[in-house]
Parts: sequence; structure tokens; C-alpha cells
Amino acid sequence: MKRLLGVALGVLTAIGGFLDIGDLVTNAVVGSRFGMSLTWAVLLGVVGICLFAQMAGRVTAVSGRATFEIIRERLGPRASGTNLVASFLINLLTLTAEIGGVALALQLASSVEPRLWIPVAAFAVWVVVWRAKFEVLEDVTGLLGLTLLVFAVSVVLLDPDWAHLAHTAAAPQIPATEGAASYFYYAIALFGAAMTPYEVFFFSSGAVEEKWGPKDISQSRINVLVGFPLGGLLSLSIAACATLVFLPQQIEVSTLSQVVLPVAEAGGKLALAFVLVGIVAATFGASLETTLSAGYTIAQFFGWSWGKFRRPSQAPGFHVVMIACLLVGAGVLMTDVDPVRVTEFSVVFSAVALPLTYLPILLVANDPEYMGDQVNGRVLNGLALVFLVLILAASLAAIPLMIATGAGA
Amino acid sequence: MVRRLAAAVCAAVLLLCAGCGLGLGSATSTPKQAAERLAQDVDMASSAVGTAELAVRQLRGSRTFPTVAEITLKECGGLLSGASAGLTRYIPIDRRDARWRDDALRATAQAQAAVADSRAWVDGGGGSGAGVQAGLADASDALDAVSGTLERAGAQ
Repeated sequence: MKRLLGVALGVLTAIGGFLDIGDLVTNAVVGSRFGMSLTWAVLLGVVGICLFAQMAGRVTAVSGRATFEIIRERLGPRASGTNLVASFLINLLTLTAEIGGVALALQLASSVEPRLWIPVAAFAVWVVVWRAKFEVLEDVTGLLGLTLLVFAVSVVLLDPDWAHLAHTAAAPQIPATEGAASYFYYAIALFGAAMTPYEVFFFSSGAVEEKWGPKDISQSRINVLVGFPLGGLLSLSIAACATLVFLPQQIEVSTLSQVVLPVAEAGGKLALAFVLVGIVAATFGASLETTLSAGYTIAQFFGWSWGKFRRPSQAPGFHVVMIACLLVGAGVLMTDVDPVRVTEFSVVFSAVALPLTYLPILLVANDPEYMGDQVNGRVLNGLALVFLVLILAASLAAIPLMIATGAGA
Repeated sequence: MVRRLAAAVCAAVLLLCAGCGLGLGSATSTPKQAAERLAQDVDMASSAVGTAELAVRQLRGSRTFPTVAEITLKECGGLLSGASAGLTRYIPIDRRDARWRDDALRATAQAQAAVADSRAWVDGGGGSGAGVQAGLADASDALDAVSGTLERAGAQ
């Protein structure tokens, strides 16, 4: 019974923790401009993150070591240094976007300027990272994030023409008002939003925090293979809400306040309250994860002592990196930069840097020295190679498309 | 190593130049391009007014909180300022183009006033819900009229 509850909790937190500011904004923007015609990109992203996280979780469970420790050992300091720089910078950009997301969500609930919320949000993230137990911070934010299921409820309440919605998703076409370059730019953004590298660092390092062993592989597999696809359905619900409310009126989403309007339209104030709690929980949870991921990557690369299972005085470098990242993220946001724009850039640059994190995991997952008899099977490797090609294509196309479309404008 | 770096820098410059040529900042030289360029700002303004109408309707129907409506309207004001700034920066290529730009600026200014009135109503600064909703509808119609003209010109 206890084990069953553990599995259920793992799946629920995986669903609730799947969405972050990148998913919220990108799916709403895409729904308002392209309808459901980019559903395929979300599905590809979900399959990709399942594959990626499942391999990373298995590597950690078998070796007992986190991603960056193994990457450095396997690739050497020079190649893994490039990997570290790219991953760390993308993670910092994502952390900045998430803190901005918390501030914007709190602004919606309070009318208080986001610049007053930014230091509060960054301080709260630090306090939780410093004081709360790993399991508590993961479970609480994941479970509160489940209130975002209100997006799925809203789709039903908006009473859509289901056949038409399914048809536009299954037989995608580029809308007449949009160009092919913008369409593929947003496809890459959706892919990057679903496959953000920090999720894998957090997942893999979290496995060490929770002391996973080979016997936990099946539970991690269930968390990933059930929780993430259901989280992906939530992403599609956000896009569907925007499609139903904004697309017919040719309203283009460019702010977080617009993202919640379809929910209010469908379910009124109660639904709106749920979605506000959900957005705060999702962005705050992702802020915690990205802050921890910053500490994990640097500490693991340099071989420092790390982890929430150690007292801060036993892992000083790990905590200093996290504090520095929070200060930088909050400092950038205090310059009045638009957090939504930061989010849009973070998801696209996530796609750019993805091969640097995906390839090492794939190599290690195939190395019998680390994995013994738990190396990737043939089918899994075939799928992983197909995704490697997709990830490389997305990574190479992202920046030229960003320039050609004026960042999707 | 130096050659590789030089090649990478050349490729980056080439991509940036390609972006300037293809992106939104490109100069207009034909009436069709001019109409398309102006239509981008008008569409942005229309989108902001549509959002404002939705927020006001939801507040009148008690479907949203005043704080959410207020922030939404504030952000709509920001979007309209962006559209207006884009139109102000635009340099027309002929008299007809200048007339289109002036019409677009007038419609955007009307929309800005309607959104400002809506914010004042939400903050308890006067006006009626029906009145601000009608003002937003009129602003939307004015933008639609300009948009229609630009669309026809762009199709020619």
C-alpha cells in the first residue's frame, strides 16, 4: 500500500511539476496564432523528455551518481566544460524566466508591481532551498501545480467542436495569416519548452537526493511514462483554451494576463482562483528546480560536495552558486526586462543547447562499464537515435529561424 | 582554430544580415509592402482592444477579479503604446501611404483612449461598464476599417 501511494504521489507530482512558465506562455501563444496545428511538436517534445529523463534516471539509479559527475568523467574536462557552460547559461536564463513568472502571477493576484515581487520571490526561493527537505519542496509544488488541471476542465466548459479541434490537430496546416518560418520557429519553441535541460538535471540529481537504487528503476519509469504524458496533455489544454477563445477573435497572446482569460471565460472566478494558484505553484516549483539545477551542475562538474541531503555548511560551494544565480536572475529582472520575452528566448535556447546534454546521457546509457546489463535496448536506442537527429535539426534551425522571423513576431 | 573562429564569425554576420533583409525591420519600397508593414501595427492594436473587450465583459459578468482585469487592461495599454510607437516611427513612401498611416494612428489613439477609460472604470474612477464596453467596440470597429483598407491594398 505504501509503495502504491509512493507511485501515485510520484505520478501526480510529475504531472503537476511538468508545466513551467515556458510551457504556459508558449502553448498559449501558439494556440492563439496557430490553433492546434502544432500539436505534433508538443507530442514530439513529450516523447523526447520521456526518453531523456528515463535514460538519465536509469543511469543515476544504476551508477548512484548524477549526470554531470558522469559526463565529466566520460567526456573529459574539455568537452564537458563546453557542455557545462551551455547548460549553465540556459539554466540561468530559465531561472530568470521562472522568477519573472512568479512575480507576474503574484501581480495578477494582487495588482502590486512585479518589480516589488521579484526580490520577494527570489528570497522565498532561497529560503525554501535552504530550509525545506527535498521531498517536501518537490511534492508540495507538484501537488499544488495540479490545480492547473483547470485548463483541461476549461476546454470542456468552453464546449468546443471536438471533431474540428481533433481534425486541426491531426491534419496540421500552416494558417494563411502565418508564414512557414514562424510556424517552424514555434514548433522548435514548443519542443524546447517540453525538453528543457534543467528538468533532466533535476530529475537525475533528485534521484541521488532520494537515494534511488536499481530497484527504483520501475517506479521512475512509471513516474516518467505516465506523469509526463499527462503533463503534456495539460500543455495541449492550454493551447486548446487559447485556440477556442483567442483564435476566432484574432487576439495574439503576448502577456501572462491573457493566458488566464480563457479560464475565466469558461469557469468564472473559481476557475480563475485555481489557475492563479497553479501558475504561482508551477513557476515557483520550477524556480526551485532551476536554482537547485544550477548548484547541481557546477558542484557535480567541479567535484564539490553537493545536495539537499547535506547541511549547507557541508556543501558551501553548492549553496553559494545557488545564491549567486538567484541574485543574477533577480538583478536582470529588476532592469524591467519583459519576463515573457525572457521566457520565449529561454525555450528556444533550450532547444539550441539540447544536443550538448542529450548526447552524453545517450552515450553513458549505452556504456556497459557504467550500466552493466541495464544498457539501452535496441528499440530504445533506435528511438533515441531518431530523437538525436530531431534534436540536432531543431538546434541548428533555431537561431536562423529566430533571426528570420524577428523572434516569431 | 583561428580559421574556424573566423568562419563562425562570418557565418554569424551573414545570418544577422539575412535577418535584417527578411525580418520586420526591413524597409518598404512598394505600396504592397507598405500596407503589410502598417497592418502589423494595426493588428497588434486590434489584438489589444480585443483583449480589453474580453476583460471588461468578464468583469461586468462577475467572471473575473478586478485585479486581473486591471492588470490585463494595463498591459493592453502597453501593447497599444507599442503599436502607436511603431506607426510613429514609420516613414511613408507616398501620399496614399501617409494617409493610411494617419488613419492607423487615429484609430490607435481612439483605442488608447478607450482602454484608458476602461482602466479608470475598473479603478472606480467613473464611467459606466456599458459605456466603456461601447467605447472599446467603437475603437475595434475603427481599427477593423483601417485593417480592411490595408488588407485590400496588400492584396493588390
